[in-house]
Amino acid sequence: MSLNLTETWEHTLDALRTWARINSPWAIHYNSGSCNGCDIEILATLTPRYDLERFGVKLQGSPRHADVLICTGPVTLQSRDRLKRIYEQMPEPKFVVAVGACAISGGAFQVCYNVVGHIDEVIPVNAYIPGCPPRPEAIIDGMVKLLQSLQPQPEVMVS
Amino acid sequence: MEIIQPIITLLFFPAGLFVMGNGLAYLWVDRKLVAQYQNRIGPRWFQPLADVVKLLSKEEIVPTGIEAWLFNGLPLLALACALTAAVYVPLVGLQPAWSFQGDLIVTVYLLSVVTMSLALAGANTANRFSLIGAVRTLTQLFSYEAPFMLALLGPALVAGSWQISTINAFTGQHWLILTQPIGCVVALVGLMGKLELPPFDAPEAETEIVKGALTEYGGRGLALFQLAKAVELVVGLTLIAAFYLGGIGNPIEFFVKTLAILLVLAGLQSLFARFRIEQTAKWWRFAALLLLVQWLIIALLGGKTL
Amino acid sequence: MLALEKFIVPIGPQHPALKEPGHFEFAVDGETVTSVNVRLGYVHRGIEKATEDRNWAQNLYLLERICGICSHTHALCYSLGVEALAEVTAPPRAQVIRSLVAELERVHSHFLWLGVAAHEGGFDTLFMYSWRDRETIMDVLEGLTGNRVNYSANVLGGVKFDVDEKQRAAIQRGVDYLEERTHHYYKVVTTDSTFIRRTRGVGTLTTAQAEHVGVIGPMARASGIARDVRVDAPYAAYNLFPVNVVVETAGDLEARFVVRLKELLESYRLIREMVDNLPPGDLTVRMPRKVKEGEAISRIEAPRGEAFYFIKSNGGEKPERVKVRTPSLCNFMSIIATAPGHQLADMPMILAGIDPCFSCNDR
Ligand code: SF4
Repeated sequence: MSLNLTETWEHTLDALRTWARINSPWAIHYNSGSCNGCDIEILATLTPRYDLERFGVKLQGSPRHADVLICTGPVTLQSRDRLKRIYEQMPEPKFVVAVGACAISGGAFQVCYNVVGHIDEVIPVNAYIPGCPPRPEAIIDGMVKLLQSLQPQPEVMVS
Repeated sequence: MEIIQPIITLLFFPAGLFVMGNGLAYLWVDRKLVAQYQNRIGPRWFQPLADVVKLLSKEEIVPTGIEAWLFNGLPLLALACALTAAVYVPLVGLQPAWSFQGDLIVTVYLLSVVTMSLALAGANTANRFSLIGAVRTLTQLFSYEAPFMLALLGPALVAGSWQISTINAFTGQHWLILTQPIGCVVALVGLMGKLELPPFDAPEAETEIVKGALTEYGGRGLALFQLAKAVELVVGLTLIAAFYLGGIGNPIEFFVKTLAILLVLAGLQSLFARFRIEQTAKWWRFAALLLLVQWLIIALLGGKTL
Repeated sequence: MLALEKFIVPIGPQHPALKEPGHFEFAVDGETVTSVNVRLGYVHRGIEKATEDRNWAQNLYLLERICGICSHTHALCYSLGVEALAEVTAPPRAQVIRSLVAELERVHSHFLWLGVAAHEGGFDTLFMYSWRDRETIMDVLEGLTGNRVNYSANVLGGVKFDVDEKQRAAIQRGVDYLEERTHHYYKVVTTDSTFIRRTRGVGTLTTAQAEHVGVIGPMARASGIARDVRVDAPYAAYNLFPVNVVVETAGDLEARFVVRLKELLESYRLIREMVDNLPPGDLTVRMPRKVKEGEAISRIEAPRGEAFYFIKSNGGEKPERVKVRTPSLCNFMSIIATAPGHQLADMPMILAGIDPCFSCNDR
């Protein structure tokens, strides 16, 4: 009986944590070599027409406060270590969103000599938002999809 | 792990829980109003709560090279002080839970301790942004503390008591905003300075020093500081409503009056560009002077005008 | 206490004041900045080198992605250079459309800047409002070109799309609305007392200093130097639609706000004239696949100042060398000249004042 109680308690706590996590994704943004286009569209998502704060997304300045790292651009030689460092400074649980064609595959800059690759060659990525640049709507959609994926999936019964 | 215990006690201490809930709700109102003023929709009603719960469940990173017990203890101290201050004010129109002659001074100083611990927390981390944030927090504290105190003592003077409940009973018959308008304005702006709301947010100016003293805090520490701020907001609003807006006698009065002040606060927040820290200090010197003049007038006229 | 070392406040590469990675080190004494160190190159991708591996037409799309804010600038500057080399001229209608998009881009860029600069000063309401209005121009650009950011309006030898009646009306409507808003912002920027306290007399760059460090674009015009490629060496359709250069003499942040806002008004006038007087005709001319051997220089006035391209061809399908010098590079020096002596709190605004674009600058 007592075991059962603890279990329920744990369950409730878990559910509460997941709920909070889904509803309060604080983001931090790093540009590791993009053309600016994507960064501008990310900023645009905060502004009145799109207003990402509706979903609880707040752009934070310090990696310590962030849950979601929004990356744009291919990774250049010089910013690779920075990107890694920012990722490592973020407390768990953390997620990474790669915004834009460059962030996903290197895009137009694939063969440039100073580009070491796309984001997920450097840090693990949870969500990809394609486009060059993706529209603000697409970015919002990507964020929402990422948050939905945090929802515990109903377990599939294997007979 | 030992720190968890007091947190839980604090969290589940019913009155404390209520005050925090109230504070978070007011934070939401504030954010929502600011968003509306900025032509946005703004966050959902449970946003501050979700933020705090999320922060509490995050990994705690204690930077190296600092006093870990201070790093962990200061947020607790801040929250504890804010909650203690809440005990002395007529929340929700109820009689203060605890009251004695001179509790006004205790309350104001408890509120200062919240800010002090914030500054200490900043000074304790080896981050440059935190250090500058701490210095600015202290500068701001020293500059608004005196006028804020004076603004609250104005009503105390005419009520002839240092006890919040007595003053509250006295202001129930007198709308001091009419007789002491300067004091009311200064108290309001002082509260904004205390809570580091824009335009007095130089201590945590995002575009300069990231998040000021709180830059290195993530997870629990940040959550506790946010809660402390939320409680401080409620306490401050209650004090101003009780002192200047005709006292607080019942819950309806409480909510109407505090929300009215919050409406004004949110408007002020979205109207101005950020003050530089030395501009803030200058503003406060001016405010203190004005207050002294008002005081003098009150003292000269004695109780006659009331 | 430690020894009295210099206390250095780093801004960047990841910092909320900068949307792009650049690195600035401010040595401070209390709150006062004593010296500045600028370090660039975080976004260096090697685009100039990469152009040598692509043919003339492909490069158009690569160069457009040097910068997402002034993408048209780069594409236009490159096309003009290549067309000069190939001895091809785009038809008049194409020229006007090119200028039209360039002006629309200037409007979007200045609005963007207004918002960012206000945000740096802690005036988020202005940021939100100006970006809300910026969406109007984004809609116009999207309706015109099909894309919000990298419009790829240019092709070598002309433009891709035409402006029809419906779009003309849309542009006019958008411009009317924005004009009204711009007057409003002008009033805010020049009369709001808290804002003025953060901008007036801050970051002053005298005319002599401006000449000395060689600033260009709105920065120079705010310091009393009437320097504008659209007037000095008209390209595309600017000889048909002359530009009145806006010059302010104060040289401080406020002047930079005023110059950019007045330039917006000037752009509206140009846009209206252009859509009303579109010459009829073709949109493109044929462009040879190989470009004649030779060298060309092309300059145009980007929203941030003069963009400069040097293009060298050896007669093949690919360029031999493309050198890009973007306006931000010239303006960075002004930070070093103006920052010392100011408060740390002014730094973000001084930084934003030059409208830095790191991705242009580093390429
Ligand atoms: S995806 Fe396109 S718009 Fe985004 S950074 Fe890359 S090139 Fe720029």
